[in-house]
Amino acid sequence: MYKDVIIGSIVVIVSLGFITYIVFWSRKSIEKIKRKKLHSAREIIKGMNERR
Amino acid sequence: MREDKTHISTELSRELSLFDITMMGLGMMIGAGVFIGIGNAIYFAGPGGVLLTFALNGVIALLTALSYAELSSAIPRCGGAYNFARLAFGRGTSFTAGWMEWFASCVAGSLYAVTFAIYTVRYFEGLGLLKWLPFSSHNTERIVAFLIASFFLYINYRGASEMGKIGAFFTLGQTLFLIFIGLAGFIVVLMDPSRLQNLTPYLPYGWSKILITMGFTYVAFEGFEVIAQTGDEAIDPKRNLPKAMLYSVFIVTLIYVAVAFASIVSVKAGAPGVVGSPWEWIGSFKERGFGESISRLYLAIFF
Repeated sequence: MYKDVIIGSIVVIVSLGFITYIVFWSRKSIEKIKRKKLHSAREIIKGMNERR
Repeated sequence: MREDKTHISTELSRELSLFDITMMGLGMMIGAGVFIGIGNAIYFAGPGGVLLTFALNGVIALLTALSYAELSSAIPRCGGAYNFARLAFGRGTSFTAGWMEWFASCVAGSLYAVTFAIYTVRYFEGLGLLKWLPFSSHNTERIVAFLIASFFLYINYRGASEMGKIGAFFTLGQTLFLIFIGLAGFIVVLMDPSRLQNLTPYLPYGWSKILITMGFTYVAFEGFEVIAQTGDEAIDPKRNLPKAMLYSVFIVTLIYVAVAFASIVSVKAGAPGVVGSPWEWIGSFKERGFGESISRLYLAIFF
């Protein structure tokens, strides 16, 4: 019974944390993609690799 | 050269800001799905199941939104999914995709109008203000659903700008109302921590039931795709369309989880009229479970 509560609560928190992380990570990526005028997924991946 | 190829000619005016299109996406998502979904999800999966349902559906919706965000940033034109299918697969497939999307929007719009009518008519009946009407409750609901659908059809007919502004107004009110309910749920728990006992048994019917509830509550996350259709009317669409999609999914997921939590803790075990455990009592109302539990939340705060 309590195992469900613990695992369930962890799943809810991790899901919400994942969503928050992806949204804030995407915000930066969207700005970079627009600034560099990248269009396709291939160009975006290439642009990201060049940065590294 | 590249700029010339992707230059977008448009006859529509670019008036919709990031706020407008985010509100448009939120407005399409927040509605019948969450109002009828909470009671049903509690009935099928229990109190913990409803929280897991909305959190996991949020993850799925976000992954879908990321795909839409990339496509709408690459092809920021009106038409949305129809346009993506046309460029990828040609006219035949896009014809089917366009009609499927149109049909899905019609079904969703009908569901929203009917749910609005059910809640509105029940509310006014509770106040005793509809006794003079010569119609039955069911027919009154039908008339209200027809009127509200006609009202929004008229606004849509006038153009996206009007719809964006009026829709933003309605959505802001709806969003603030749900945020208030979510916060009120946490306040109630702070005032009376024993209400956390309402969350047990967390999953009375097991984990597998979550798959069922995720299926029928996902309609509450449908609607952010509409943002892709404003490609010709949004300001700076390459930046604002993907952002608006992600923001709207993020906001609704947090709101849904908070509101589901508030619905569960709003009912006090053993309170007058509450039969069985609180989650069973809420679940017994099914699609009206949200309304019944929130009316108890009001009592918990103010009395």
